[in-house]
Amino acid sequence: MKLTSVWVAALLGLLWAAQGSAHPAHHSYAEVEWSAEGTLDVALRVIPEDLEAALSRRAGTTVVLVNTPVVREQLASYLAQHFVLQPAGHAAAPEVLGRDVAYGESWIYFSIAADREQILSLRNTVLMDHQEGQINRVRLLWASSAATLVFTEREPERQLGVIAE
Amino acid sequence: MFKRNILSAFTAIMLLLAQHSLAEGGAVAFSQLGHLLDTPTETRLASGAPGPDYWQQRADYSITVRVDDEAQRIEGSETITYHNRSPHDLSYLWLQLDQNRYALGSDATLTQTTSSFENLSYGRVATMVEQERFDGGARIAFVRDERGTDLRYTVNKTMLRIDLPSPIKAGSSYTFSVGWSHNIVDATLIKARGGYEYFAADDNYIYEIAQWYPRMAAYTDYEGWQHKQFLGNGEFTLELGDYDLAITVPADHIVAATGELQNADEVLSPEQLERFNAAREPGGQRFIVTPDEARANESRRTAGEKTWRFRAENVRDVAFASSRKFIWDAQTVVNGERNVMAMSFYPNEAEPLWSQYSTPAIVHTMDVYSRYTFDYPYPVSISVNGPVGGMEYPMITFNKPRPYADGTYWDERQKSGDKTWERSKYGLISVIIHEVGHNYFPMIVNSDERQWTWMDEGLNSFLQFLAESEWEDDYPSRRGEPEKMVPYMISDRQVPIMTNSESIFQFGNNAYGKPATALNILRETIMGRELFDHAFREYAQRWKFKRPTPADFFRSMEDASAVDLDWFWRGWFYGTGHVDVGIESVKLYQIDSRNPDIEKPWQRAQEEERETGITRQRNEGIQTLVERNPELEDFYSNYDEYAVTPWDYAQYEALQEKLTERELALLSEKANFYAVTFVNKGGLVTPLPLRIEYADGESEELLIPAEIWRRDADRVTKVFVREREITSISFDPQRRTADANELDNHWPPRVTPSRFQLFKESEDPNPMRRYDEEQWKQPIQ
Repeated sequence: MKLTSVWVAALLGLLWAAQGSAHPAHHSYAEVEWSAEGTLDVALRVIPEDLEAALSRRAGTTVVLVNTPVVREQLASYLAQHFVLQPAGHAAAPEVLGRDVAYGESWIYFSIAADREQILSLRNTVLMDHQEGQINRVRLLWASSAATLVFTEREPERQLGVIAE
Repeated sequence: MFKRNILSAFTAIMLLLAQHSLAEGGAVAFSQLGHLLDTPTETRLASGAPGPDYWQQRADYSITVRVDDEAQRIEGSETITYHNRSPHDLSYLWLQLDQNRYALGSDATLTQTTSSFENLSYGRVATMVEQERFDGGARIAFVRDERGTDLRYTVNKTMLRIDLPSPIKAGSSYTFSVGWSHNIVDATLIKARGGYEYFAADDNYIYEIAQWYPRMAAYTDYEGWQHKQFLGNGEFTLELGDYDLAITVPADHIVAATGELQNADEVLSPEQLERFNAAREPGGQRFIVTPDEARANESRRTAGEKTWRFRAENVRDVAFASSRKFIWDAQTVVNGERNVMAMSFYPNEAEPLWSQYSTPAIVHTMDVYSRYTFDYPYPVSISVNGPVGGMEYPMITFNKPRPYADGTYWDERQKSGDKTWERSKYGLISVIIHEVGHNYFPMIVNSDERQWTWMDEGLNSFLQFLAESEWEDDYPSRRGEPEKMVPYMISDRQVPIMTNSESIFQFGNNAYGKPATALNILRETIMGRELFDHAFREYAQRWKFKRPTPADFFRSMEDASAVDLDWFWRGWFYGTGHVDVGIESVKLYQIDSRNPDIEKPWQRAQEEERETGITRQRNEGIQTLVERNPELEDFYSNYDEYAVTPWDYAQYEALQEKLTERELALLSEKANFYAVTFVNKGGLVTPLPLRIEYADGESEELLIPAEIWRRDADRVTKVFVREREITSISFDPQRRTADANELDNHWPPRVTPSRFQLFKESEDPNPMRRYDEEQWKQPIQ
């Protein structure tokens, strides 16, 4: 990533800080499950201010999480970069299906067509490009109840494990 | 449904008496905290209250400071009178120099790590560059005693030690002065609790000045000097005292500060003074500086300076804000026996949100928090809009949320049904409640945030949730409801709440959300509102203007409620387990009456209900050997095993003669014994809120205390004796325990759709449209 592109984006960072606080909390949470069609279905809970700020910085203009084709495309593009199944070639780009945005909780819904016979890893850097200290959690609904993986800047990629039927 | 399990009377009694098997897990989960807590003394009692020997230091300040609006710099001097109320002689004093966090090469900067430069945001790169270049450290001009003689001092990063010519004796006071200056940090570039924001459009600044003057470090009975270096997360604790504050700023600035304004007639225009005096009477919200006046003031460059004077009593810190951009509104309300002036200072950029919600949020916070703790003890409570995301100081808070630059906030650009607009409004209200709420914890209940963040952030987030709940129905709180904490509590990287502030991982969830959730569960599910509220208020009043430690909180909550909560503190505050209880099995037992007239027909009915096996079904109609040869038949060929015989009656009569009346009564008991086995998969023991539904359509709510796990924390069997038939049992149907997995909470099992499935279903056409392809393909207008 070139630093110049970072600086160009400087003028756009005027939105909200996530949840005003002396200790801002930046985190996301996703529930993932395999569908009968073989897609990995994802419900991703985000702090909407953070996601909008990140999308705005990429787009070069203010992005609000409304349900339009343009925003869906921006979201899909962002997720294709930050919510990635690996190894490469065994998963398609995310298809954004919808969102449910409100102050208390905001959810993004998307699917990723993937080769479920593979042992896949997930690289989850959602919003790590936006805020220091971002922590992402992913709950594997097919696994035991406590199977929630934590993704940090230090460890952004984790194995999803053997896919259970 | 059930195959009835037959119990002897003896077995039934034993089943009722012994519903647990013994295992070590329960003993560990319920062992007393014992050595984990500080040993009680006459300073801090075993009850959790301050003891007869309790002491704490005190420091009074007289501070003069000048804000340089050209160079974004402050220069100040202070005279501190330090009261040594400890039983110890002190040969040196420690002061905090929090500004040195921004010194070139500070520990805060040097110890900051980045795992990868990839995907680094603009904000972080800009911060890195600014931190390398900006020198925000404090320059100490002098340290002198009361006679003006220089005192020897040593700066150790964010701490300053003054070596005294002779020790300050226990019970005596010492007065000295410090002069200093420092550059003000650009808080839009470097994350800070104070700093400036520059507005290029009108060439103006908003200054929010905090943790800005050399402040007496706390000297305590439990830790001696609290001089842990300031690395950025662990905020502070200080000594309480009285402050006289003189702030010199450009003459056209409006200043908000901790304390009561002492010279309004010198710094306000006649119109502003008249409004200010009117606003000091209880009544509605009113402007002291109007939006139009603030806008006009932005372009004014009045020559000269003015000095605003404030006095604050019994506070542990002071902060202030200054700008020529400020609108100023106020409302005086009665809180207890005191009139309190709630005030908001904000630029036109914060409108239209701020004039509508800021001051009402201050008033609401004081109203709710005071009910759960004590009356607000100060004359003013202030909310300022500026660059700081959210931060609290006595009587004054900094709150960042603001609408778009064009003055709109979300609703004006949203389509119908898009509720993103809510976030501007609720983001503002929530942060103001939180920061104003910090007046109670830790500004008044003076816990040590540099050591234990949760003691103020957690308690405050809990009260914030209560205040939000009283703002309006279905307020969209982000923290408080137990289910919101589940993703954190089941994640694989956690540290206990009882972790030092600088070492906490997943900070917001650990120090804010989890303790707030824990207290909510304590209140709603474990102690009940009456016991909890009394104990919580007792804690707050015991430690108002004093220094509690975690042990004082834990002990006070138990002392005032007669509820042994050691298991709860152990699990929630010292552990990282989570709640995940499942219903493993349900078995029905009924008492064998031994009366052949009852039992034999029942056995026959059971047999007849049982479906015939497949072989016998298919053999139906095939003539057997015995059927073809009747001579092979004997007594047993047509014997009715369920027929009552004289021998059965004789046995029954013999039994009756041997039993007592009480035993006979038990034999005729018609009750059903449902043995329900609960399994604890998460490790954290919890009460069991249950909903039992009956065949007659009625239901029963039941709350079994957590002590059910006291012998075996892994698996317990509870017997429910009911005359009616139970059709279903649900654990935690109201989601009040933070249970991690709803799938195993029901008997019979229920399918719980995932969030994604619910979304998919909501996207499906409604049932009426599903009958017609043309209809379901047609978009809904």
